[in-house]
Amino acid sequence: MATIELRDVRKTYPNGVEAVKGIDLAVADGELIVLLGPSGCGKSTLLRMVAGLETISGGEVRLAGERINDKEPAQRDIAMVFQNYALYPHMSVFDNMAYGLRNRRTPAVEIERRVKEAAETLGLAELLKRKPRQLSGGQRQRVAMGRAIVREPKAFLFDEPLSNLDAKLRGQVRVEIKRLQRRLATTSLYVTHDQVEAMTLADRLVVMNSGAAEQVGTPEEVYGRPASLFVAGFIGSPAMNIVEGTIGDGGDTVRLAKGSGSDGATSATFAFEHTGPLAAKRKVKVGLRPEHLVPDPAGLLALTIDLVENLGADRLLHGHYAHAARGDAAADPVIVVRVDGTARYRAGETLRFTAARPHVHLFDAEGGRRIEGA
Amino acid sequence: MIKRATFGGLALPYALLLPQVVVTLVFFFWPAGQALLQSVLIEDAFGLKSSFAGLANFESIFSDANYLNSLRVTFVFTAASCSLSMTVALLLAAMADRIIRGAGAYKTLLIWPYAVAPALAGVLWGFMFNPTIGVVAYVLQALGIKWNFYVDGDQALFLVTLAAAWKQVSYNFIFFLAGLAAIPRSVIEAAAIDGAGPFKRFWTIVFPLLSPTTFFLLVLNVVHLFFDSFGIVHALTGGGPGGDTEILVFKVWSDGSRGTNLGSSAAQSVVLMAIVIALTVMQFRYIERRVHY
Amino acid sequence: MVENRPWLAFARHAILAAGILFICLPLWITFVASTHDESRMVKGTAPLWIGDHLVENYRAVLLKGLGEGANAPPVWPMMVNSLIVAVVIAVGKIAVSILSAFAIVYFRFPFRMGFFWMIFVTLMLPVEVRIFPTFKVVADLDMLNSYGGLTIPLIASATATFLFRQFFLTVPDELGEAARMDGAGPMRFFKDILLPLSRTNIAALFVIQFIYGWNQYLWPLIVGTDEKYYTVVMGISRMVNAVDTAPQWNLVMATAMLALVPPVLVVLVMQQLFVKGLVEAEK
Repeated sequence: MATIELRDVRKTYPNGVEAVKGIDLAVADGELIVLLGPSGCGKSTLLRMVAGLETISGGEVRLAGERINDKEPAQRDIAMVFQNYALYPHMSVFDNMAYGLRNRRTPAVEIERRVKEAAETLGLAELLKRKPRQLSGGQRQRVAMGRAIVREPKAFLFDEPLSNLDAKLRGQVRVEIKRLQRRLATTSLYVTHDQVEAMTLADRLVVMNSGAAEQVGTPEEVYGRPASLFVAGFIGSPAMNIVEGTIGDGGDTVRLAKGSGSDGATSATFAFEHTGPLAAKRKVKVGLRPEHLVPDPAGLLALTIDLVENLGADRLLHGHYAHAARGDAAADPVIVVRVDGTARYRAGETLRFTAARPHVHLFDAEGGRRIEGA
Repeated sequence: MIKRATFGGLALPYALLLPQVVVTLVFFFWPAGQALLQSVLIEDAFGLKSSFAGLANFESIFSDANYLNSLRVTFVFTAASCSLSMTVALLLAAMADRIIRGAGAYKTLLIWPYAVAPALAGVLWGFMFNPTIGVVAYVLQALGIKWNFYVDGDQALFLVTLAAAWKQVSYNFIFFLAGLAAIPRSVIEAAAIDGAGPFKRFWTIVFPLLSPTTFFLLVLNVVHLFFDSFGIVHALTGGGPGGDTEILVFKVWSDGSRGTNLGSSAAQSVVLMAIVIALTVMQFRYIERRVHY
Repeated sequence: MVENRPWLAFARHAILAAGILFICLPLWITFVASTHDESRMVKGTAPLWIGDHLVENYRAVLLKGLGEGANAPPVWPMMVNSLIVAVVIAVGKIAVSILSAFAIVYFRFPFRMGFFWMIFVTLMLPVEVRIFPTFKVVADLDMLNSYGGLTIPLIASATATFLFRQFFLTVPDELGEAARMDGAGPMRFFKDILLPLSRTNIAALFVIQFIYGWNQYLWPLIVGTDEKYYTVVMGISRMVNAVDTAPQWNLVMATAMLALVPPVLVVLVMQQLFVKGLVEAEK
């Protein structure tokens, strides 16, 4: 059972910078957890603490129930795939994969078996005698994975392994990684800044920002019920539209700024899911995903289109509130809507939209936390 | 490599090259040619006439006991000094490589001997080991060693080797440090995760990856030791006692300044030239082959 | 290092400290010796701590040398000579090589590669290998005992030319093309564009060549036989090997300090530049 537990794990550098601010996480055996976030959010630091390449300033890391804070990397029985592969340049592919096993005094026969098997799985069987400089980027990537696989460790750690590959290759290798991990059922931690990678690979995601975890959840949860403005804006492309709103008198609707409705005096009003009424007149931020704004002649939201981007299968409409007072940015945000590619809208047109209740997200105006029940 | 953007005109490039070409012809090629010429000539007893002697001069120096002694001394000196300075420099560079605090200070304190003239290095070390007032000599004598390098040839060679190595360490240190810095950190980390401890990592990963630097330094050290150490020997031992520290380059000078046998002196110069050329060619060949990975 | 073990960090610093001791001890001993008076130097072993004759010794040595009869002239004029030689060699080498590199890289002309190889060959001919014939040439040209004789034969440098050539090859072609479109001739391009870009290389090379020039030993030894043209580094040997009397160590060491301080200072002040230049030049 190779579970990973992180309890209030912290990292503070000697110069006072807090890179990781208390992360709690319980990874089940065989789960693939993705640490997602922008550069500098602490995800790589966290991974390296689990690997043993960074010291842990506070908290505890447990692997298979055992505390590993003070163990050297070599003793943790984990394997890591680096962003730039980190293959040993002077060794052949075979030796690269065998190195870790040789250090652990695995018998040569066993080494040969494991390396050959991994090479078969990864399509490297013909390349065993080559040196890294004779391989393409994608091949080197696979050797790096092969090196991790043969060790049969308790956990895999991936540090942005796809960043150095070109877009097409990235897609292919991503799928291979997913299949491989499923087959081997090894617990894995995977770091990336690419939300597409994160969503497709993860069993669960940890969205990180400035050293703290903003949300831990499945891809569905993170997409459908983002816990904060940060998560809402980070997941989904194009990004969720965030606009100002005010809770209506009944406490169960939210009104957008004046001019968002059918004329200059009205505001678009949306109902949202709630467990209990909210304070009337409360100011909030409203999140509406571009793909969830649906053209509807009876819709309460009126937008004038400024620009149409044609993506082929979809079109992106950039627009603003049809009747907004111009010049006031808060009352006149840019709204992006995704519509089907067959629709033939043009710049200058005014259209009306609705959004279903589950797709209306409310966030606290200060702090950005999701308002629960919404 | 050819530059795409070039300028026209003929007079200008020749004019630009002129200073270097003139100096090179007058002070490099002409004298080198003279040396080559003289090495195959023998002068008669009165220095009036020279006659072609083929390789006679070379044969005679290679059968001269003094010359052979000089070869031996040079070989020992070079091998010892080279291994000592490279080992020490590698050790220090490996230690300095991943230190975060104080790295700059360590580097500064270790590289300054590069600026010290070899002759001065000889003077400094000679002073420390001086049998009458040297501090280290004092310690040695207290330990029961009869230290007097003016008299004991082996001790003299030892001291000269030490002084030369001292000077070389700073140079090697700089290059080893650069070579170590060029090894990606992630490769070392991968090795650590693969179960290799610090010593194992050094021997199986770092040292092999450092081999181009090591080879390069080896050749460079040998060239320096062959030629720059003239100053050390001249200032420290004068080639003595009794020729026990007479390295080849020193012998060329001392025989030549006596002026008795021009042909022999020229032949010695030619031998030195051949050695340098061989080493430089080796260096370039090796670099061509191994430069990319 | 990847690990965390404290003893490893301690060992590193200990070894480095030992290394520093090995490297710096001779300097310390020398400096200490230069600050004592003569009587202290004669008895027992050399002192280990600084004495109080610093100013007297240095002043004496700079102005009077070792005194009459010791064939060791005042040091100050020698230092001036060293400075002249070092600067002339450094500036000369850089000027000559940068022009040659410019010609070889940016022009097409017959025998271009021939010149290149000719310069390359000089890499293999350090002065020690051709001393006496070169001496003869200098004597024939009546350049003995002159600043010219001390410097010119050492000015053509293959390494500097290579360094500049290598650097020029990395300058984007577009710059040369843009300059031509802007009506700049070759020398204008050189002066306004190439030269400013080469600033760091020039500075780094200057450091290295200055040291090379200052530390010249064998060549000044045979070319500068007149006391007037002694440089401080070759002057030392005459002091140490003073035939009749035991060397006055305190003064000799003061001279040694004076001889090594300028180049060491240059290295320390320009450390970054120096290291960069060294690593680039030898590639």
